[in-house]
Amino acid sequence: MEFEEMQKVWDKQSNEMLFVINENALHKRVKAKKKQANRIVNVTEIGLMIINTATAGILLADAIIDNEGPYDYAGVGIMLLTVVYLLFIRKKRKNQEDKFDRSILGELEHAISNTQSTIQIGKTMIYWYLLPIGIYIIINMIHNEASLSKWLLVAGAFILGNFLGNWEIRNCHIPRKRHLERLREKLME
Amino acid sequence: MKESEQQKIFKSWLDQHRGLLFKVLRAYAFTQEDREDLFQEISAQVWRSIPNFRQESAVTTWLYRIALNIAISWSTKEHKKVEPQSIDGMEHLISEKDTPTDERLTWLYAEIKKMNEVDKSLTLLLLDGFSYKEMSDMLGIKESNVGVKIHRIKKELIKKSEKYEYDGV
Repeated sequence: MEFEEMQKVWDKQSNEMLFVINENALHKRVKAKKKQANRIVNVTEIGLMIINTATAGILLADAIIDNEGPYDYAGVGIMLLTVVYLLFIRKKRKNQEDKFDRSILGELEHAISNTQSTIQIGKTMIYWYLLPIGIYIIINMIHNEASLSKWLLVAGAFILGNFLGNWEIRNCHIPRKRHLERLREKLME
Repeated sequence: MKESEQQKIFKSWLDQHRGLLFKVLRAYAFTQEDREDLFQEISAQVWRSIPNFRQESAVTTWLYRIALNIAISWSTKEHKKVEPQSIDGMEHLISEKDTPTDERLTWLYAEIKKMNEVDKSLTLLLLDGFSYKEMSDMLGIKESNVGVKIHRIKKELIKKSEKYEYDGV
């Protein structure tokens, strides 16, 4: 079959409607989708910032009440730094939204950048959230001479948290980013 | 832009260009659930894009660009099975008509299905008669690069069609 003939076969389908659209259902879902997309991004970013600020507040209150030393304040400082870092990532993501052109390559670059942001937030959660909280809890446990079972429980929770966080990054976000990068390479080659 | 106005444009685009969207669905999604999911994603993006449409490009070019962008990005995601009860009491967005189709068209789609996401896009645009310049603008790559890819795709399709006509596979 010559290519011109393929095009004729292709053109014929434009006049045949192979699917029927349920317009009412579509309208409802499009409106719901519009609201959902903005909500998900805001809940993730703003939610994390609120949680971290609240945690910093609790640590600060604890430090003032107990008045036991500078390490309590260090925990507060680290938590507030994570909020600043999350704000920075959010601002960077928002600034980049208008930077990408509207071609497929531009959209791919945008998707890669968004996935990179998700990976960064995930790593932030693991290293800059789990770690300071972990250090803070360990210091408190040493101070309160915690039992062996408590040590095992806390250690297990941290190992599990760390494992699940890394697992999500390794198995969901990094493969997606690699796939998008391969697509970009295919487009450019 | 008022929502009623946006809705009017959305409806007229769907009425006039639904064939284009169905081609993308057939090339990128292969089950009823996946087609519904992809159709929903594309429709949502088309709806969002309406206030940004400045008539600098034709509606078909605009819609193709959106549909292909979403389809490529959708293909890279892992899809969760959607609970049917959660969607408007099991209302389907699209349903397939029981119309006889040209066997050669079925073969053509089967070949497109085997291609990678980028080649699929180029093949759809090529078959719909877009120029290299338009394809280059839509994809964001050089015209010469489009030319090289198109040459390879055409050559492979013609070679496979010879086998199809000869062996029926």
